[in-house]
Amino acid sequence: MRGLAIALAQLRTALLVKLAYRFEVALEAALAVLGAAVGLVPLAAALGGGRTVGGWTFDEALVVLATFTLLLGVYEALVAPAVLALVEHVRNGTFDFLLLKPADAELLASTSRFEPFRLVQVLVAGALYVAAFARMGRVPEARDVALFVALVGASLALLRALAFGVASVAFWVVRLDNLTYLFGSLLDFGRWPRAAFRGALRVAFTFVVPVALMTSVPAEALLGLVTAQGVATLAAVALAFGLASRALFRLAVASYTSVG
Amino acid sequence: MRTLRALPTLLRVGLAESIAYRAELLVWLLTTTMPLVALALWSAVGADGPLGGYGRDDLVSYFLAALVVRQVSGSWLVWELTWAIRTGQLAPRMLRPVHPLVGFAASGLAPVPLRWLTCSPVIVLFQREEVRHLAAHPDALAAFCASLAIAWCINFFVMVAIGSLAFFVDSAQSVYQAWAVLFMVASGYLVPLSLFPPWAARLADALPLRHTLAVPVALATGRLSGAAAWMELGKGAAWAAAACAVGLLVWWRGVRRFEAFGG
Repeated sequence: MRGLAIALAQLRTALLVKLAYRFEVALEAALAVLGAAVGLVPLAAALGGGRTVGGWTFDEALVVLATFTLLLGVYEALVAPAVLALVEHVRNGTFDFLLLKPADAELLASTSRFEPFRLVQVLVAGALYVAAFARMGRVPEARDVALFVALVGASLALLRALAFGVASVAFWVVRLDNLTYLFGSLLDFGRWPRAAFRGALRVAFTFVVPVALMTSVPAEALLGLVTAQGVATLAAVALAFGLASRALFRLAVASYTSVG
Repeated sequence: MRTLRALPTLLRVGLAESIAYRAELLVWLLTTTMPLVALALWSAVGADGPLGGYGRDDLVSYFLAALVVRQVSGSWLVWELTWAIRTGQLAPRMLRPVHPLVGFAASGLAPVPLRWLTCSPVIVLFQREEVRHLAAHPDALAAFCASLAIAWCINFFVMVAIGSLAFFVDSAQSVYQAWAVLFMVASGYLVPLSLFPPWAARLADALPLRHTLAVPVALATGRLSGAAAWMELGKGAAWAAAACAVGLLVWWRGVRRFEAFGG
């Protein structure tokens, strides 16, 4: 409960700081729309005119893109800023101040910074969902939506675990700005249905950097195409990564010797 | 001139900086091999049949060429520049007798031979026809090299312009993000420009981004040659000159109002 109170206090501070820069808020909104529009172009190029990839049509792939945008919005608003802050703290030696505080180090590290207006991308995702289902001429079933919400939760947990696992590496390899850039590049492949990836790449994007899993399985649920195997894989991978990430972070903090 | 005499040393320093943090170098290399993953993806897309004039082999050539072009002409100056401005590190650089932008350019150019080296095994492995063709036709090779220089110029000076915005606004990151997003698509990095739907193709033609990747790739794969190639190079050179002018202008205006943050 105290943890939740801390998280909410940090969020409120971030929101107040951000509201002071009204230009940035408008810019965020514009960027979100631009990002979505741009994401549509490769999809339209690949799947326009009735083509399919791995059995997925354009409209179905649009649902995957919408899920990607949704996850990205939440990630960029609530997770990514904290990851960057953590890397900076470690680099500058100010992580010590965080460790001295009387709350769990990982909680404080996770809530140290937010970009609340990146959540605009969630609205854009909503628009994409509406467009996709309008084109398909149907509405998803209630139980599909419920399963979708649960799976999105699992995907978010997975994404967070992945991001913090990567950030923990910063404790040993101090200069990591471009690792976050690499991570972002890999995340981009989540725009595509996982059926588009074959062989070794599919295994990599399901178990090593599970970006395809986290966008495709919730999308499949919403489309009513999901299998028990898909759900089980996502749940298992999310759990595994969650535990591993927590363990890695603890290991990193234990081996942290600061700057002097 | 002093700057010319300093250049070899600056380049050596730039190279040393880039390999100092080996993990960082490795990560940069990994990042710019994303086109290979894109290649696998588009091969799957093209499995049903040729995609608008691009068969499977053409897609392989395209993305390999994109890999090389990106490795050589990429610039990440905006991070360095905004950091230097925000932390006040720019001030000592400006006291030096060599222009700070020359220093940044040198540290950007220095790792390029290293990057050529790391992507050549991939090219050799695939033994592309294109490599043989370029080796046999010096004029095509010259056009390709010129397009790479233009691509680098556009990238560099746009980065200077965006980075120099840090003199004026608190965070130039959002502007850079917009540029990066546009780059991904309008340069042909994610998908060949000729596969675009018509509305997007018209937009892409109007932007300078095609000269940062699409044009060099077309020259390397032989899709662009002869008079058309020189026309494109001319347009590219004009864009590069414009980028240079804009970049230097924003830089100059910014320096005039430079305040060091955090002493």
